[in-house]
Amino acid sequence: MSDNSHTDAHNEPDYLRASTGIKSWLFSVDHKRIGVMYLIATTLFMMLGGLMALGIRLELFTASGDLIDADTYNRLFTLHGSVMVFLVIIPAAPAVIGNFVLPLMLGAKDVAFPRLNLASFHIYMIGAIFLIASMILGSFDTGWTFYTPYSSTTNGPVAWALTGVFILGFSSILTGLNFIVTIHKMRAPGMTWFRMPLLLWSLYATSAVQLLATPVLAITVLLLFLERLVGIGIFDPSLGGDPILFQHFFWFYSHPAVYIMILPAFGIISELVSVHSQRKIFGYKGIALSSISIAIVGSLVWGHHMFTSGQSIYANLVFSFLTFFVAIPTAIKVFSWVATLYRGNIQITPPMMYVFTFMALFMIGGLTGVTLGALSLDVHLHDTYFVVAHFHYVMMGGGILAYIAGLHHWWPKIFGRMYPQKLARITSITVFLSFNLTFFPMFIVGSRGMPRRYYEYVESFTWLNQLATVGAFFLGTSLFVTLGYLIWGAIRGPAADNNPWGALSLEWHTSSPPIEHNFHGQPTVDAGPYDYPEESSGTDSSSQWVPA
Amino acid sequence: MFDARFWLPESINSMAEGTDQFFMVLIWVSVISLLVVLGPMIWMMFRYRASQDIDRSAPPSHHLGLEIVWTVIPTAILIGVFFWGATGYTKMVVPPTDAMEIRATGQKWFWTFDYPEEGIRVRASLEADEERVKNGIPPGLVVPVDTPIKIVGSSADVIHSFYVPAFRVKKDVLPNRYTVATFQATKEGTYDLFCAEYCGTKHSKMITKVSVVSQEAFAEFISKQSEESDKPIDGATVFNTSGCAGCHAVVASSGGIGPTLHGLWGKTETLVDETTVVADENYIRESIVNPMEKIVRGYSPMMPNYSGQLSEDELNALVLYIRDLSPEKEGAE
Repeated sequence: MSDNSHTDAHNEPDYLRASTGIKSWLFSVDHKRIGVMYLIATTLFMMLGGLMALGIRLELFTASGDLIDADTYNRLFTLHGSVMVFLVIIPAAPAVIGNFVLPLMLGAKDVAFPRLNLASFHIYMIGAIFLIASMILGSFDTGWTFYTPYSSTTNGPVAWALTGVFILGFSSILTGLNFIVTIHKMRAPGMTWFRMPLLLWSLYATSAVQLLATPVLAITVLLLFLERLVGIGIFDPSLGGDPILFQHFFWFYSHPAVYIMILPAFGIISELVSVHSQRKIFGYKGIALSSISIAIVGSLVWGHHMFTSGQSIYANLVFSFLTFFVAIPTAIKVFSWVATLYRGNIQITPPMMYVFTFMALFMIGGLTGVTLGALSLDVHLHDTYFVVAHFHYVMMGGGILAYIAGLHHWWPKIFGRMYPQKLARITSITVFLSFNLTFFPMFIVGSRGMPRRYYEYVESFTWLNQLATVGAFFLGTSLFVTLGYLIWGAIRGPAADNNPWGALSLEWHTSSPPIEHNFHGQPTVDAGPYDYPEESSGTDSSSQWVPA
Repeated sequence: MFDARFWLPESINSMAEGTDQFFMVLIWVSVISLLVVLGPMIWMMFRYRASQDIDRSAPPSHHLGLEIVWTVIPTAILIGVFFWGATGYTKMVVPPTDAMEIRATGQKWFWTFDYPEEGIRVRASLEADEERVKNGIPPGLVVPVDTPIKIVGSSADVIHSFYVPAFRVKKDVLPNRYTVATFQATKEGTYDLFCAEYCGTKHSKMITKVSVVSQEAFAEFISKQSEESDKPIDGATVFNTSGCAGCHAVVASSGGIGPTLHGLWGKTETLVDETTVVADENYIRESIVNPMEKIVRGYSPMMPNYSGQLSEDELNALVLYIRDLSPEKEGAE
């Protein structure tokens, strides 16, 4: 059944070979090519951000500042944060995996506005150039949070970086808009809301946050830009401004941005846990609706970044209370994923290995988030390495590793070739171990009192920092090996089947790699994405696809 | 790993009592939650892996009872965590009325501590502390043991943060605004005081100490420091030389061009727009640097703006001087 969709596909070239030349890529409106271009760009930026992280860890191997000077160190962590947040984690899952998979999953030929999609990519690259230019122009040292009045008074090309962030925001907004319209208007006949794969629900929630919260970031950086250039007093107290106002503005975007990073990860995990255990997802509606409630409640908790800032005690109480309510839908998702394994037919594939890795790391990140949400504890832990460890577990252990899991899952679809699976399974274990070696000691050194953004630290923190540095180099090596075998797989790997994992959703029922217009004819749908037949029923693997 | 000392330095602040136990309870809750999720996950990973020949019939796609249970239990736990954290927090941040007040000013990259009652000022930085230790004087911020302390902090430039891990106390200090931190040290000793809000090149060098000393040693410290030339500015002098006295009375009286400052501290003032405001540090400071913002009912908006006219030091002194014009304050002394 799954195979009649592409009986005549052999004559038509796939999207990789449909046209040639650099222009056919840079100006392509094909969502798949745009996804691949985002993949290349975010990978390069991730390497850049990762190298900076290694520089930071190397400096922190000893308590005294000896490798680089303090100003260089401050620029390094600023750039590491800015590059990883704005150029890697925010775009990675929606713009790479979302772009490639979303129209395919819907049974559509492309996103609703293909040209706008290309424009998003171009805007992203222009924003990235500004951010990278600020690095070449001597770099800025404000931290990725741009707190005023430090950011309005420090030297360095802060204005360039702000311009970059401003521009990048538009890329994010336009992608979000495009996805929302696509999901509303371009679902295949029969694809009801509750027949959509769960990745689409989470991308929908992500897009809504991108659309609603990113403009606030744009306004904030614009105001800061004006303050620096023209001297309008908005945030700088010496000009009559209010620095706490900046923090409110900044976190009003940047806390929801955490959900821009993690919601697509949840979607990826929902897909993978079901496909690789060949089993209907447990609690579809619970998972789908929890994405929406995370997006809503997550927009009301920004003040928990400001418990020690001088914000009113009453505001602190309210923000702390609301913060705990984000944990509930998140817990529902985690429980549903585990319940999906019950009576499953679990394939220990590389994507599944990363699912297990994600579960452990994300749980640690989430649970330490509960500790940080408790007011009396946050007073001690705020702005220490405990927070640094927490958000790396969430954003890297959660966001990035789910993204890597997704890449392993869709890689054979994107490139039509398979990477070496045994090596991938081994690497997923070394990634897991080295990740914990890198970031777990940071919890301890943080709760013992080491503040973040410290170039030098007191002697008693040394051994924990040394563990983290050793871990970071193992982690870097593991990820480098991952990159190596994925590239090898894409170019030289053995040809992959159209549906190597036995999945039911529509993207697996066209050729690998897909043809330029994704499907021959219009797919129609009469089943859910996870309706795996029972083994005992003896039927062959089905799909969402209804043959014409 | 399950001992509080593994995670946290010794706690010597009686106002933060109980937070360490709370932290350890949450560590345990986290470990148990992790086991509750990962345990079954790993078990099923082996039991239901593809190579196992096992009953896989009728896997449930949902189970309302189970889903209600795993929504309600975490909700109950989380609400409990909120209340525990919130009650501990309110105990930690509200200074007792009889607390000894110290003014802390953060500046790139050192602290200035003023003791208004004692009329002394100390500067604290790595270098200054070294010098003081050499001369047999306790380094950093010096406070008497078993005495409630109220730190009123502000910054002369960018945001810094007053962070003493051993006290479990952290509070950002901001330019043009006062924030309050409080603690009561229970054990003599020297403890690290870090700046916890990134403030530039020497952020990680903005380290000093809190010296918790006996009452006798504190008295000795005060008398030694009184001989030093470095003293807080006298608020009365600033008041008289900056033209404040021209409009504002400092003794109980009525009339005058501006509101009488005698007895102002802690009073609820009614403004021209019928809203009210309690006269605290931040209100008084704002009324000096931005007087048009809040006009007291019955007075005209005519006071000149002192923003930029007074140094941070002069402003702090002036606020303190006006505070001390309050009769309760006089009575207490």
